[in-house]
Amino acid sequence: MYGAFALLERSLRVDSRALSPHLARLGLLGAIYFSLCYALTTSFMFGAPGLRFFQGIAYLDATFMTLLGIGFFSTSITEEKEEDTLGLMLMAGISPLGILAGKSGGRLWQSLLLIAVQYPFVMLAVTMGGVMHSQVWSVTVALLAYMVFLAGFGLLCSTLAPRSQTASVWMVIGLLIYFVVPSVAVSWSISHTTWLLNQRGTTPQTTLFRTLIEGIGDICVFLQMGKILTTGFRDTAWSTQVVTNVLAGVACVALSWLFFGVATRSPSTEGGSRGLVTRNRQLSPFYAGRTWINPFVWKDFHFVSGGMGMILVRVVYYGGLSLVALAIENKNDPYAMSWFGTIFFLVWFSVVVDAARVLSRSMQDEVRGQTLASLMMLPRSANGIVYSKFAGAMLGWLPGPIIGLIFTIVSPTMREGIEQMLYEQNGVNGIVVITMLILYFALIPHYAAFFALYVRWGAVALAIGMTIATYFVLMMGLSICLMLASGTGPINSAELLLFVISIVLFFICAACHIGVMLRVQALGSK
Amino acid sequence: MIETRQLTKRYGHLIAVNEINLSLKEGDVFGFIGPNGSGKTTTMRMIATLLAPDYGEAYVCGKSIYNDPREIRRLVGYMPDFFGVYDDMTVIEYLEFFASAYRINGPGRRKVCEEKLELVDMAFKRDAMVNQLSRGQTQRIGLARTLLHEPQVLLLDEPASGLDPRARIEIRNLLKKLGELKKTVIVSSHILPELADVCTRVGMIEKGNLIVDGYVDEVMRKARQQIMLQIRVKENMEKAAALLEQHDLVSHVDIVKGTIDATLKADTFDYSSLPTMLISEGFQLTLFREEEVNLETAFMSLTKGLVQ
Ligand SMILES: Nc1ncnc2c1ncn2[C@@H]1O[C@H](COP(=O)(O)OP(=O)(O)O)[C@@H](O)[C@H]1O
Ligand SMILES: [Mg+2]
Repeated sequence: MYGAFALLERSLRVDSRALSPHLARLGLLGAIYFSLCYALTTSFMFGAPGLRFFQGIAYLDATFMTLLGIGFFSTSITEEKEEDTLGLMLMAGISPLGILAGKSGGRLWQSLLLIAVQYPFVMLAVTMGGVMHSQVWSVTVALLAYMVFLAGFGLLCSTLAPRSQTASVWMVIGLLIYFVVPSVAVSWSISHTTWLLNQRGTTPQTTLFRTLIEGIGDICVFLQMGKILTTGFRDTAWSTQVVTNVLAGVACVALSWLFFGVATRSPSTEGGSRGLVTRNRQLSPFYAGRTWINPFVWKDFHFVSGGMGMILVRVVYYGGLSLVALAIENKNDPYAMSWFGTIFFLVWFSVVVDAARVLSRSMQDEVRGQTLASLMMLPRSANGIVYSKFAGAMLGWLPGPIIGLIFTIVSPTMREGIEQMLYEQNGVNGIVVITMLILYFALIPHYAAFFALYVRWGAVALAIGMTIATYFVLMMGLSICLMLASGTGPINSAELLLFVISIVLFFICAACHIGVMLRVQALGSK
Repeated sequence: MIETRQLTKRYGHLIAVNEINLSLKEGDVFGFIGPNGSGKTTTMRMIATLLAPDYGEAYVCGKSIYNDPREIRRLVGYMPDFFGVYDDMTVIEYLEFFASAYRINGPGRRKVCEEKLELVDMAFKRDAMVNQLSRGQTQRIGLARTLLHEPQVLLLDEPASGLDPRARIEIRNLLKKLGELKKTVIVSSHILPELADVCTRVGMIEKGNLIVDGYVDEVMRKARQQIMLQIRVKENMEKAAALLEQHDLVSHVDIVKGTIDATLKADTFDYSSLPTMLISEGFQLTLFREEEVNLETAFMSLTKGLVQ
């Protein structure tokens, strides 16, 4: 038991020096502050500022917790595997359970601080009116239960996966299922209400099906918070969501314990991590071949973006999604259209996340492998090296945006939508809107490349979180400014707002370029 | 080829490198010796243009580290003490990648890479994955990479650390070869014997200060100014030691493991009266010899009092 405490103490000390939890707390505080300002300025129109404010806090909490959890819990065991220290701990007589508890306890504590940090604001929300204590209590319990689930699930992924990267991918997939399946079930049961009602009591199977479909929506924390935060909520705090999430978390810890021995026996870095790139021409068509004239482009194309093999995978993925979407596109069926919209969003979101992933890996691999000094020692400009690397990584990414663009142009719905946007709508120039949207999504890969030089893991998650936070801060901050300034004369405030946001986003992207260059040079001389 | 003038680097209050003056000619193999944390890596990084000094100048082949860093990088091959390798590549891919980064392209590139692999005796691992190599093999691949662009100047930071004795000997032979190729080499180590017989020049650094610097034979000659004798007698060792201590030629005496170590006064070369004296006093001599001066003992005597 002593070993577990030693581990816990060390992980508390080491983790409190890590950047990401502090950034997350800072981001959350900033976001909450702006949410407060927003609630105050809009309450003149809608009333119940306390509830609106508290809603903001609750959803922000859950979002930040998710992002932090992915970067944080999924690395707890894998980082020891990667540094080959797990064996040492076991030899030092620390039991597997001790390691699991010690490694995740510190992180759980950090995440608890994340909730604690905004307690004064919650009190403020209550005094502002519109929120009941029972709602605050229920949301807190729901969030804590969700955190137990996150910690347990992350620990399980971390125990089973060979590397942190794999673990965080598994965790993202698991969480997507956790969010998407309940939402789909709920939306399906809403659109089939009458059919479901007619099934009542016909056969045990259909009853079971109905209970499942209706009950599955209760496990997701976002849906549960939606229920809690409606006016007139009077249920108990110990909801299905709380019970299932805590049980799932505990079950995951138990499974981690069970599989700890099996999963940690083999070393983590063994075997090539070349993905689909083969060493040998005879083995497959995805042969890396000889270095090109620009070796950095060659290297990042093959070893970061995945080479020809991954290009094929991307073509199949994006092409498949686009074809499915085009096939179900039918304007007379709102249900089909909602799926169409979801796939459209998924395609473009994948494009953005993929860009963020390849760019961050292009940097992170060098940092983790301590290879930057060798690169900076070359008689070439640092700019040339870094941008060649980015170009190589983006070369493999290209199928996504190309297929996405074709999809967008070919689909009548999207084409019409864009044409409509280009005409002035509600006094807002469509080009401004589109520019702002593009810059907003472009910010994610920019942040990802930049943060990859600072954090060991989870640069993409951090980048998404920071992009949302940036947008939130800009939107709230500028709209407050505009509201205060609107007495001065007739200005088209919405358009001006978007225009200013675009400019600021553009400058943040530019700052990321400069930041990456400075950081690469600094790391190269370390 | 390499010249530094009062090269200085501070980290806060810590002076990592303190006004180091070096001047190395073509073909010099400079053994840069000092304990951990004495400033070897910092010095080499400054010469390699990776780290900006706080004060002082350094020139490589007449080019200043401030004005021509790109040109210097072309002339210098630097092997860091810790360096990562792209572990998802094969050995030959790795070398070709760097060759191309040094703008060695075209049909000759593969040949250059294979030549260097040959030179470091790693040709048999040509198609192995880099992450499946042992520590010593990785070190040798790193050395091959450093040699790709035929650098005039080599900066090798602890190339032999963590290697088994056999690999150390191989690295030493390699260093000899490089010296014969008229390259200027700085090779650092925290262990002296490792470098003793391959260097033409040695320098010792301690807490950022270069306390000894010179050609090997010069250092030896300086060290030889005080001769140390090893004497063993059959009985009454303490008495013999006391007697020697009082002798005009002897500066001081230690007893180490049953042997009397008598250090003579400076510039004393004729000590033939000592054995005669001992025998006439009735001692039975079993050993009487001048201690062999090698680089290590030279250092020990030269740095006595300078290093604590
Ligand atoms: N980036 C740094 N920041 C602060 N101190 C450093 C840094 N790099 C080196 N030092 C300090 O400078 C001194 C010399 O280090 P180094 O040149 O690496 O020694 P050596 O290579 O001889 O072992 C050491 O005391 C070390 O702690
Ligand atoms: Mg060193």
